[in-house]
Amino acid sequence: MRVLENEAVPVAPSGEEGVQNDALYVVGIGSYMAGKNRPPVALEEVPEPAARLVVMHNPDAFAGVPAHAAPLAVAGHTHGGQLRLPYAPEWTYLTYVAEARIHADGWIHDYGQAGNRLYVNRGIGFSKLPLRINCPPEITLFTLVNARE
Amino acid sequence: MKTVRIGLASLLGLAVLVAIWGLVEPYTISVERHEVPLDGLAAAWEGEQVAVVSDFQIGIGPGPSGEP
Repeated sequence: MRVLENEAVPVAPSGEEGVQNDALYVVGIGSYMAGKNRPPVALEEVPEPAARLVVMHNPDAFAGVPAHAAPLAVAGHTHGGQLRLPYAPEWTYLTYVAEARIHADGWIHDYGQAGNRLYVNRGIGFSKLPLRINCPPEITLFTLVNARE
Repeated sequence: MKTVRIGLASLLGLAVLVAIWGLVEPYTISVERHEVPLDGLAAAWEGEQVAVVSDFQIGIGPGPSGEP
């Protein structure tokens, strides 16, 4: 498994050998908590028109992604809050801690630079307590389509 | 007094049930599907799916980078 720390790799479509102009770039942002997140460095090698998927662990790193550089960005870290009240999806314990400046999972609106979109995945593990309530673990499947069609 | 006891016992029972469910729910993985339009996506990628799996929490405590 290759770890992407402020770097990008082109991925060829399935069935193709070698990387051509039709590559999808996977961009990995370094650790936010360790102070190693450098989004501009990670994006340096991505050609301007190329499609890209920007990946980071902590959603706080998304704020530093330059405008229009990440039409699809994905983060984890929050576990969706792990413990949530039914019928109150906005409420989690994260709402009341300092780090929780954004929502815990799903598409995050009104956050980050213009032209960028962030999705926060709830993850499949748990931390501190081996509990999840009203916040099941998640695998996200993105189906890619061309924006101009 | 009997009503209070019944009320407290009910609350305790409910708390136990919620806690038991909380131990089960981590093993009920949900698959969320989203269609994502991307500028510059090559025709060869049209309709392809990307799976995101995160926060395995393998091992105990933060990794070398400090992220939990």
